[in-house]
Amino acid sequence: MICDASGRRVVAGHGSLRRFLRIGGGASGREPGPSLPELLGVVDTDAWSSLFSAAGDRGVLEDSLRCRRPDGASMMLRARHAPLPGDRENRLLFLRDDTELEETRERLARARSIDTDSSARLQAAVLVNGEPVRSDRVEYACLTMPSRRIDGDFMDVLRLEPGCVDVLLGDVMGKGMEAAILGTVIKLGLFRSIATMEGSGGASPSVKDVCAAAERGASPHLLGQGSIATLAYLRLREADGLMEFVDCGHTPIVHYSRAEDACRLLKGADMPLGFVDAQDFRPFVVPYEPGDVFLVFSDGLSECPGPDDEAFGEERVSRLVRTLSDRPASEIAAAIVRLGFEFSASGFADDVSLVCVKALPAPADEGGLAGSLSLSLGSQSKRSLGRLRTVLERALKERGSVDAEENGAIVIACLEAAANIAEHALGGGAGRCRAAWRIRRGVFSVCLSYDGPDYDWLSRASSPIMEYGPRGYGLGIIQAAMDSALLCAGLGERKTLVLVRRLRCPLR
Amino acid sequence: MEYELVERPGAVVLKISAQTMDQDNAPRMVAALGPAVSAGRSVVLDLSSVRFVNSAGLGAIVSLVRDVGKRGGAIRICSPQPTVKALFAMVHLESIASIDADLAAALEALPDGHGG
Repeated sequence: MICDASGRRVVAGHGSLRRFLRIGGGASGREPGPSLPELLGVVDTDAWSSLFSAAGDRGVLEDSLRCRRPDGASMMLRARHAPLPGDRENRLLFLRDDTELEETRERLARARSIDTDSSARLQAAVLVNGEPVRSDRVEYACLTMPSRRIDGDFMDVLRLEPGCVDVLLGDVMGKGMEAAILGTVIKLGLFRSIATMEGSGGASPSVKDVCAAAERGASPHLLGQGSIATLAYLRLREADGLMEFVDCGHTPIVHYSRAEDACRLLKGADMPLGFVDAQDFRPFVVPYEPGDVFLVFSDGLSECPGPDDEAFGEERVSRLVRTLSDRPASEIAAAIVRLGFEFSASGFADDVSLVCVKALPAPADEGGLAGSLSLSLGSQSKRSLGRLRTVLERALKERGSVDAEENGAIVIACLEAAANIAEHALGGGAGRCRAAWRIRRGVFSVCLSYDGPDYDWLSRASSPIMEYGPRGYGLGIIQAAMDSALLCAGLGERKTLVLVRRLRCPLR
Repeated sequence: MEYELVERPGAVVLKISAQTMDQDNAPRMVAALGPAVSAGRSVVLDLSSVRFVNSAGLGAIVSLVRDVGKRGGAIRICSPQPTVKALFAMVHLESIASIDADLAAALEALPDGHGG
């Protein structure tokens, strides 16, 4: 229809207006009578006037206004008017009844609110456990900050047996109730596995078995919903100073090593739950010492966007852990969440969950044997590797295995690892490598740190013996001799290869 | 001297005198058996003095096993020390070559059994 520039009077299209208002004849712009906003039952007449103020000079204008129909029903009116070519006195007016659309929007908003409220309650009650685990060897601190719309983050810290604590933190793809339900399914699956399975000799089930059983339970639900979940599952052997973990596509675990005063990012090799029906999980083991810190967190922290859309990032998290490492675990966790929140442009868009683990000073009678060597590689490789061999042979003879062959296998694997660093990671050029080894409570471990490019330590041996290759046995030897071989990236070019073997026949 | 070739009835014994076998010396030692291998003779690799073999040394041994097999000869490896034995076990060397506790057992086990 056409109305005057003030929006008070209909100039043409009275029939259209009557049909729109579902009323009979009588309303006519030719005779004095109710104005257009009165005919439409506009409640906020100031808003209507404002919509048409100085309309003659302006282009397309539009607004939504609440109206009351002649029959008393409420209506949400969308009014849009545009200039008529060559006519500054009148405007082309379009009216649309958005009542149903608005009601649908309100219903959706109410449903979302209920969903958010329910999933928030589910998250607080089941998915996230704030119960602290007490220990005189390790501090544990959990913290979660839900986003505006709840994600499927879940976490827990639980003591399975004296000296053994499990930490789990997962993140289901998606938001709201669906994600919260899937998170609950996975967490209950993990708990059921722990409660019903038994490891060798009546011990707790292995980390690998717990994850495999949980995946069996969760996969049908995840695959059915087309969803996936990442999971970091850690087990701390407090007396041994060992952390074993399975990483199902989760954000890296930050490990601050006090000995090196540096952080490493621990990244496993498994896929998120829900990618496949079942996978053969690969657990890794990392030794730790008093003062070391582990931080497990959801990607809501590291991917939180700040100014210029730059993400908070794993590197920033690592630097903060290092800076805060002398504080208690609870303070480290709180400070990191606070700094992440301050960094974010408009609060956390995703849930932020984290568990901070800090190793406390050990009793004086910890025992064991440990040492470190600085190896000069390149032209000095042969001599350095000879020194490493001598030192390790001596240590293993004193505190290693009663089986000389087992000790020998460990030495060979360590030398192969160092030789691979020299040859593949450093490309035969000059470089240094620090070898820090430890034999404690029947477990041998060595950390080989160097500055250089990455190298695929997870790949399988390229030359199986039946294929008679002249080279390529190094990785196979390392993997055969060690229970765990993990390459961790640090800041810059720093890499650390961590090899661990639980001795089959340890010296008493 | 890093190695010694000893003629025995029906076989050539390569006794390694070096304590280690690696990329620097293993190919040279194994190459010393070249004429015997080419002639299709049986060979014994005596590792009683070797304390350490790395992956490159292993590669040289595997190449020797392959070459002997191609020429129709037989090969036995004897007297590995614990560390070397551990290496062989890790890579399942026994699946392609026989390993004996000592030289006498190796010679006795050769096809024509010229022990002693």
